[in-house]
Amino acid sequence: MIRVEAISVVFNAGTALQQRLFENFSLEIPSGQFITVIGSNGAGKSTLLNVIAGELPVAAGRVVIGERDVTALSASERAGLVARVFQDPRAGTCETLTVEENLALAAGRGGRRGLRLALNRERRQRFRGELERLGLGLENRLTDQLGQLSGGQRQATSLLMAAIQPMQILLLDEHVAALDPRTAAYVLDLTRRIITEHGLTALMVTHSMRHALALGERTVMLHEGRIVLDVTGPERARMRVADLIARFRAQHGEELDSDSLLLA
Amino acid sequence: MSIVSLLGAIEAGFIYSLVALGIFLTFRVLSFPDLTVDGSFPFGAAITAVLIVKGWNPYLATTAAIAGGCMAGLVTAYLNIRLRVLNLLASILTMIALYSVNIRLMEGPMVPLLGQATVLDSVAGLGIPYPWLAPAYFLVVAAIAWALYTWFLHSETGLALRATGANPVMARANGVRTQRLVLLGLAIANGMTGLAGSLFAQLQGAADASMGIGTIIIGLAAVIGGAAVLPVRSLVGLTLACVLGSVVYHVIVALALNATTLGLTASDVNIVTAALVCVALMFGGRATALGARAQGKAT
Repeated sequence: MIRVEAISVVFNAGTALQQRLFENFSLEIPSGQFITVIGSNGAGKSTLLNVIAGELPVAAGRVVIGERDVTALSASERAGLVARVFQDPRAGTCETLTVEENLALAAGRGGRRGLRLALNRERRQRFRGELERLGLGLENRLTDQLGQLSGGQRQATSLLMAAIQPMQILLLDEHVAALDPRTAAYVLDLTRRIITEHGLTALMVTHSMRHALALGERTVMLHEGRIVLDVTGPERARMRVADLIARFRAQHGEELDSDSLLLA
Repeated sequence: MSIVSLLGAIEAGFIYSLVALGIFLTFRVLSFPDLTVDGSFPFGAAITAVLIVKGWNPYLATTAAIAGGCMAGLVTAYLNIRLRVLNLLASILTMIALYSVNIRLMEGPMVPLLGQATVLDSVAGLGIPYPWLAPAYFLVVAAIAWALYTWFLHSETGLALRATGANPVMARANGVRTQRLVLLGLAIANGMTGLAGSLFAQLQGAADASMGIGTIIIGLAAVIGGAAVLPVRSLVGLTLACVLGSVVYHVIVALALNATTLGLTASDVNIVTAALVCVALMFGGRATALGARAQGKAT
């Protein structure tokens, strides 16, 4: 479960560039729910994600993950509860480390890191098994530097890294935006598989209205730090992309930036 | 060049390989340009010299130098992390401050160690003939340090440290406390440099407040030169290249200073070093990550 309670976020506090994004914003995601979040640029999608992950502090309010108040915890301290996949394939992985080293780093998430070797036979075997299931042939490239993989292979590895340790919630930050359509479809399918398999509470931020409706069981639309649409169940099942756009216009009476929202 | 001066260059090379490994850790692994070493090298020398003169066991005095170097590194990391001083500037501040600290500590610009017990005395009885004793001893020290260091980089903590330098956001998302690892990395790097300073003072028979000048560039020459001489990608190879680079550098400098036709004197070492670093960067191409990184940023 994720509960964001009455949070406020202030950027550049105390300077001339001070800017508020969220004000008294709340959102509750029940355990095991897979929610998609859409909104135009600057709507606060990534900010929401960063607040939950602990990369951004809140000026007011609480963040609760599971039954735990994590408001005061840093990103690294929340890592035992939160797994994250980034938009940029380069952001979620370490390109100078090898494939197996990246996986080993993720396998240490939430635990204590000591002076034992990060890789051993047992771990390599486990990683090879996990990589085999991706069906990308990565099980033969354990010792390749991650920077040598393609964007899709890297995102798939990112997902695997996210799922390699038990966690409470999975955060997906437009994680297929940088991929070509075929690879995006593969990674989305993999996402669905991993979420179902582990029964994860997941939050996926996306630019694509189509993906927002096709995946998960609930869709939230953000605009200027507010929730302007929150649909689930039969109402959502009946919705088409065109309905979403109509709802968006009804809310704002403004023209949609047609490119990314419509075409993606 | 005589065999004795060649051996002298090699033993200095082994000692400075500790500096090179430290610089590899800060510059390459953590992407933290740390100039503290110009201060922590003579700091280690000063601590050891003062303690040996006070009658301490040389090994205890050497251990104290390692601790002193670690402290210096922690100060730089603290300035950067907590007080948000730019990393390069933080290290320069520590380095400058240490110059005064060293003179206070030694109650003057230098402390001679002639006739005092040093770590080398502990192996004097092994029957190794004189000119070979110091190189052999420092070879063993460098080998042990290299092995421990390379093990560390492959450990869980070492992996977290490498991720911290390469991609801090990703590292934090995987539960790595990046700030602690920057503290740890700088402590290790400067601890090794303090050890090098301590050993160098015991070898040359004095600690000197100005002996730290150019430590950073000598270490960088070893790191960059080593990568050019031994163009490998594996971590084991890269760290081995630091040690090798340090020895090669010192031999080249000794050759240059010994070649009477060139007419160079000891004070010309710095310009020779600067030239060597430039040449290594020019011809190292992609093999030297420092050059490659600079290219990557420019594009």
